Amino acid sequence: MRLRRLQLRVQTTGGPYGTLLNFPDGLVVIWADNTMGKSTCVKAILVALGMEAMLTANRSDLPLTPAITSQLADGDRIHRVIESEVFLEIENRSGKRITIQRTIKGERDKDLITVHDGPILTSPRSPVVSQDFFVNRQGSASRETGFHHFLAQFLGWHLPTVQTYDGNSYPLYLQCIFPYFMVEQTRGWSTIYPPVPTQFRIRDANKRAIEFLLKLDAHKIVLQRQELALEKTKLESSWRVHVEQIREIAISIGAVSQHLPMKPVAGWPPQIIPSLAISEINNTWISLEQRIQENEKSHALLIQQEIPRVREITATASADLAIAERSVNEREALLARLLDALEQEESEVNRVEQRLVTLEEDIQRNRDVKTLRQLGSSQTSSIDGGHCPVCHQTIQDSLVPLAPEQVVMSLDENIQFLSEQKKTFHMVLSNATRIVASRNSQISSGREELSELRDRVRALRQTLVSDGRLPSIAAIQNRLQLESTIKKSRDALDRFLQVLDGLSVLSKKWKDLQSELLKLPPGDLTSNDKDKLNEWTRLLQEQLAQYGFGSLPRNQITISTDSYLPEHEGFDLQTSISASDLIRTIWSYLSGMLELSRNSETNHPGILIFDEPKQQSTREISFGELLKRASSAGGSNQQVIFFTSENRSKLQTQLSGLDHKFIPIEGKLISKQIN
Amino acid sequence: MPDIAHHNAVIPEIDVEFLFRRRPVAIPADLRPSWRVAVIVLLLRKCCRQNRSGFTRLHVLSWGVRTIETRNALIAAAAGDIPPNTLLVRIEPSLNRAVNFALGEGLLRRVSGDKVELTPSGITFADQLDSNVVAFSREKAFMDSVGRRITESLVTQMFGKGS
Repeated sequence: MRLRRLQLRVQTTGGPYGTLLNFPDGLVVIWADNTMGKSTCVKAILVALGMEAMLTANRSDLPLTPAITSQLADGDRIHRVIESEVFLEIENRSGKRITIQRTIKGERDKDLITVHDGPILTSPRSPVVSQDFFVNRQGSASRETGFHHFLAQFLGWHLPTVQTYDGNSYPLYLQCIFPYFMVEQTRGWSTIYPPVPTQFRIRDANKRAIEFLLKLDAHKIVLQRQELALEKTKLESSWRVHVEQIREIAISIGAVSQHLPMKPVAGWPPQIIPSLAISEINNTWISLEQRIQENEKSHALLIQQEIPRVREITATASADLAIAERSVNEREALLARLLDALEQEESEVNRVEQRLVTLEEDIQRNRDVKTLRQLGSSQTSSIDGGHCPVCHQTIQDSLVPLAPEQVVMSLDENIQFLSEQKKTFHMVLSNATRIVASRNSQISSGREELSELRDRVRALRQTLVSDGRLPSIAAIQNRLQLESTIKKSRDALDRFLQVLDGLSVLSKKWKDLQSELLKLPPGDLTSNDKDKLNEWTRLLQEQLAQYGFGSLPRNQITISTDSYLPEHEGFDLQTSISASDLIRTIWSYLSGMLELSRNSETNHPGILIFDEPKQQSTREISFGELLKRASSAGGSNQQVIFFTSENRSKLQTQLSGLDHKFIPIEGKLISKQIN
Repeated sequence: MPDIAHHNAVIPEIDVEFLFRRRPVAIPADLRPSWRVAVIVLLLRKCCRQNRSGFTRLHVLSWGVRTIETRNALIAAAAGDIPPNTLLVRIEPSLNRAVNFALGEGLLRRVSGDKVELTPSGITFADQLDSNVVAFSREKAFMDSVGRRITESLVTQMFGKGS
């Protein structure tokens, strides 16, 4: 970004006033005496760019001097300001120019900024398209009609999304980036970290701004980490859903799932393949596949035989009936036993639940006693202190008599003790609940079997009393029942396998996720980032030496990989250096960023504006060196603008022989305009 | 240390010395003097007219506060849903000790023989507890729902006399 021309227009009761400043490339030194309106120009530039948040957190008034907002003094006369506006012509990397117009005082909305699509200040005759944008409102950085959205586009910036303290995410505001290359005198020279506005409540705004300006990958890696963490939670919950599905499938056929990993695993299939197990008549568990095979075998046997006539099978049928009736009896007995067990187990669950309620209440009471003591109530003080209020003998903290020398737990110990118990009982409870659930599924499978057996008994009986020439009802019924069982089991098995396939997909994703996480560099910086920071450190040290930094050994000052601040052996510089060295550090730090952008790929706009960089506290030699260093900007297609009120002749001596533009302002910067 | 007993008995299989140490015992919080004193003070303030009660009624109320079952039973009896003489009230000596502590602390005073009454400092303490939203929330909720309906005559009925 380059500034090209600034124009201030002020209509007063004493006629038009104003000023016009040109900004060529390279080092530009704008000189004016103190109180001549230099800072007004710097502030006007910031206001034109919608950056007033850098100057104040107040939103109602623009932070500008009275000379352009209320009254303007010209010699002895004082004129009231009727209207004032600022125009700023800027150019982007590809040489395109626009002119920004903003009303400072007048009828127009102060939060409206007009952009003229052309250099209307330097070549007024060119026809242009104009468009209004807004600032200081919701969306001024993210919406199409927001000025900062437009400005970021104009500068070719893709702003990163950052988190605020209240958990929202917004694009990184330009107001947080500009302080790194526009230093304004009232706030800019007091801290090494430029005064990034805090009212936007952006987390680590300084770090994010530096990462963006220097195009560090660090922020990307932080974001990647967040995304992966989100993905992880998604996978975990999806896994849980799958497990839940399997549980439902198992319940529908009275089976239980075995060896199913409850949490995502990277290795699939697991060593022991998950399966569904189903309860057998003799109370053992076999796998569902086995059950289906057995059923199919008996079905195949049945198919081979032709459906027998009743008379052919009367003998076998009555034998079968006897067997079936016996197994019905057995089944009923078993079921009764299972129901008994279930009842016991359920009452166990109830008991534990009750115990937990009691424990919870006791814990609460202990806490209440603690609260009592913390209330500092004097009323029960001697009991709390372990003394009898009447005879002042030592008493136990208990209302029941204890064995001699038996000590009572302190309240905290007692709470701890109860909490541990609670934990144990929770474990017991979850175990008991699991047992009940599996018992339930065993019972429901037993019931189903029992009803099948009864159907068989009925069919056999019907067969025995029906006409001898008819086909055996029992045989047909048997076959149908077997077919339906097989079908049901097959369906369940299919669904189960489908869910397992889903788990295998999830497991693969989980594995990929883990390897992605491992790929992230530890500490968020890539080697490319480290190179940039090392180069920045080199530039910083070089300049500190040049400017005569003397508080600490210069070659021990490095840029932190964590805060990106200059530090000395891991400690922040700010408090340990002299005031003039603080200014030297800020020069070196910010101009180091500018110089870094000459040879590395960054987002730095290649411009640096210092308002009164000397601040009366650094010696001449340093300022001369700063000018020398800054004059290299011209050769690198960059722009460095200094506003200063140094001694003019001294300044000119320091500038002699340097590549620069010197713009002296005689008298007041805002002067009467003759039209 | 008095609570440590040394036993040099050696088990031949594991040739080590054993040290027995008496550990502090856990006691239910409702047996802590401060808890019970606080509850007595609250009961007198919230459930008794004139902040005054006989010992028997105090036993009934104090029994009622302690568990969910007794709380529900006492609330039902107060509302007249169950006959008062079906309640099995437990008389606890620990209550008497707690009352003695409260008397010693100057929170209660004896009036007309077997009755106790809150002193001004007892009233201040009770109000301080009552305004604390965190502590004794269950107990206070119970006292609010019972109110002052557990009268001395109801207590007499509970023990099978009268009616």
